Amino acid sequence: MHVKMIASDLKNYLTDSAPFEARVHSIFKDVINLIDHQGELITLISENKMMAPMTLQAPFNRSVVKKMVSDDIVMVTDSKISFKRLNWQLEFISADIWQADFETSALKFDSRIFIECADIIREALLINGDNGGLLPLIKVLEKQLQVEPSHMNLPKNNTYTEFIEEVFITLVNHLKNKEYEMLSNILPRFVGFGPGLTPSSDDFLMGMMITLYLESTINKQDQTRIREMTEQIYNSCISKTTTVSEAMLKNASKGRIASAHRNLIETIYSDCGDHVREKAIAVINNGASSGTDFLFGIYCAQRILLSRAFNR
Amino acid sequence: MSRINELFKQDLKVVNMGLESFYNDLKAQKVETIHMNWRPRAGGNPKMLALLKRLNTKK
Amino acid sequence: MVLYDIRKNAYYDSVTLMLISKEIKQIEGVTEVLVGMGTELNKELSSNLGLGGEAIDGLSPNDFFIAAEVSDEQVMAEVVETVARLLTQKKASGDSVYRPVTLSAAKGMIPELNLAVVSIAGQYAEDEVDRLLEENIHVMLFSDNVSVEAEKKLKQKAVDRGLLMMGPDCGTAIINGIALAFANVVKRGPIGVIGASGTGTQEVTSLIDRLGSGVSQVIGTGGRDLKSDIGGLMMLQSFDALIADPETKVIVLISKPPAPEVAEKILKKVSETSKPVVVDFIGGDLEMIRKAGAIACISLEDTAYKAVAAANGKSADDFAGFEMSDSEVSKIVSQAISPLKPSQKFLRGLYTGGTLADEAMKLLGNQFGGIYSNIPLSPEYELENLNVTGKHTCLDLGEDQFTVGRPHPMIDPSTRTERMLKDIDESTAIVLMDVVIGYGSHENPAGEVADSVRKLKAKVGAPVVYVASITGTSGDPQGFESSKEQLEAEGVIVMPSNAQAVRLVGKMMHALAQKEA
Repeated sequence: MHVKMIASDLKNYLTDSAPFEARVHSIFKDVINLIDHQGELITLISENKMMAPMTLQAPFNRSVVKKMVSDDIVMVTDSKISFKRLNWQLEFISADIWQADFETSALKFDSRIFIECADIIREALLINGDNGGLLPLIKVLEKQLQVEPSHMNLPKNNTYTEFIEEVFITLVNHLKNKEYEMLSNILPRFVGFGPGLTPSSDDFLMGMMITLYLESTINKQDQTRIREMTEQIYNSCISKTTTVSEAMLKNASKGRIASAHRNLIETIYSDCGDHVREKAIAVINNGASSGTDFLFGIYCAQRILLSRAFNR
Repeated sequence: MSRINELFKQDLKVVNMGLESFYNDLKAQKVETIHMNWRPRAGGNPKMLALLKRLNTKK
Repeated sequence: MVLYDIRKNAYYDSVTLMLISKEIKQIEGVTEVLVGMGTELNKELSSNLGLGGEAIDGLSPNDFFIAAEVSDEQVMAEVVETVARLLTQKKASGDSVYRPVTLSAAKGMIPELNLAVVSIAGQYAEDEVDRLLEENIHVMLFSDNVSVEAEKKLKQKAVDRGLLMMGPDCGTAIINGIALAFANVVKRGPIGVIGASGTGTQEVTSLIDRLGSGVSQVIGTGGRDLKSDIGGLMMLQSFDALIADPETKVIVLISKPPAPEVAEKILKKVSETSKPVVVDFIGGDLEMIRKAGAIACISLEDTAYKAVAAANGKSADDFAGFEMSDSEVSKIVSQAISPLKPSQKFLRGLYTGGTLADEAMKLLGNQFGGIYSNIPLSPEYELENLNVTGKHTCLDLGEDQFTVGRPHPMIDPSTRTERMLKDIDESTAIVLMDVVIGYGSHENPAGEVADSVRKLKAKVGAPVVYVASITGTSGDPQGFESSKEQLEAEGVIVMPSNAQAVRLVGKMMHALAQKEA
């Protein structure tokens, strides 16, 4: 079988490290995760899913998924992946390349547009978002950052947000004040928390990281510090959260995220416009509360950037 | 013909419950096999098991 | 009360997890519930909610858990059912598959499942096996601690449905050329074997392979099958299957001496087939077997010889000697015995395979004043407190008193290693051992024995004689030849079978007695 598309970071990784043996880590309807000898997660997705870092997309079907079991041995070379037991091979020599890194040259940061955009995202969160994760913290976030209250009802606290509220406030204040070196104290009390295979706090951190990362890239400000900060977030989560979550945080710390999420971020850092709402809802529709928590992370970063902009 | 003689003519397709090493040995022999994440029903609580059985027979 | 449902290294997508959480919350009588992955903070939260406990403390971030506080047991049962249903539902639709927790989910992944290998704790085995048989899935039940009543019920069900129910306590089978649990890589061929003894079956089938023949099927029955309580249900059932099997030209039966009425039933079947039937009721009545028209055997090795001869259309005399010439045997014996010091008098049999230990004692008999054991041939030779001083001994290290809290010595050789260092001293003349290789066994049992021998050479100030046999084939993962080389490199005398190793030891003991006289 031929692979349709391969992420550029995966392609580079395989060129450097293959051949090696990996094993099947987890299996879902449209997603198969492999884990390799170095603990890197490599993801296979069907055509029903959108591209993401360290991912390849192939037209596999349910019958393959059903026969697969975890720990199945997989041989990985720089041109193909072979599932020995299933006699199934994926060749990717001729696959299209999906660029895992953002093309930022056409993006911009305009605080006026940014406010407008943050308001739309807020609305999408409150109307379409899932309140099962960290979203109820929007109330304390806005209070901390002195966002003007709106007429919309805010979600009530849940078990998770009650538990994490204080830590969250501290986290937001550190970010707002650019006290990045203080994060290492607070992150162990934050990562890997909440429901889901990727715990809510991790989804939140991903959205927050990528938004700040891009802003610094686009404005060419604080780039080194931001990169150190995202790397630090990733380091704090090692072995404190699930393998899948850890891999996603690693990618996000390098400015790499899934294409559905990227579509939204690109819109935020361009003309905003009507598409933001529909792209935000597309993000919310990922997983149970994962999409909402990711979007809430973006929103948090937006408000932090805006509060800094106004204080200036 | 008994099912045993039918089995002799088929490829083995094995479900393994318990020791994972048996599953690994089967995989090493290229047998189609699946390892169950077996755990005692009702956490192994005998009272619970009895209760579950009763619930099941009610249905 | 708090209910925990924990699945190690289990991945379910977030939508499934949320669904479970929501559904459980709606069950009346559930006051608190937490569903998630076992990260530190999630664990801390569960403890804050009063849902903490040992079950949760030990989790790692890749373990999935459900913790629910419920009002009573009825509610608890409902929660368990709901979770099982939701997870299975998801599995069946292929939404999240990792390792199935239920049989129906497993069937969803491999619809034509035809065999189950079951090695879960014995007290749960009855229910699981019963369900497997309901699904017409053949069963190999490795677990022990299954009651006689349960065994009888399950085997009766299997017989009614024409299924295999190998076990409980069945360690060895080879079905369609596939080694199950503790079994060797044996070439396929015309000999069908039914064994009530695991290591006995391994010894016979390995020797069949080394004699150039092979097996069609190797079926285990579990050690109790031929007792009167069970009545040989599985041996009789398997016997019929091998009679009907066109690939099987010769049938071999291996068991400790059966209950007389069971022996009668089994031997009656011999007359129902034209296929030669080779029987080793280890140490049992040979005449009864011969009268029934079957071929009687004097050792496990002899069983292999006679089965291979029968497969070649020949008959064979009892094999009671050695593969090497008499002069070679004499040379080995005198070379081994002459350096021994006067203090070196005793035999130490240290076996990992129970049937092989039993065979050793039966072949040696009482000629040297009785051998003490934890599985003695007669009660007066029961070894008290495992104190071996001043006696000939032969131990089955696979028995419960040695394996509490650790795996069988075929998997974990440390039991024997410890015993060797403890029991072998200046009073020891000869050490007799088995080395069982193949699937299921330790990755290098011969290497472990060789290591211990090396250590003992440094520790014991006397030239102890080590004799061993290897149960296994050149196709086994550990390799027969490489196992042999490792043992011989440390001066262990490796004989081609347990019977020959025992006979050699017998000759050495005689030579020792003469030397003393």
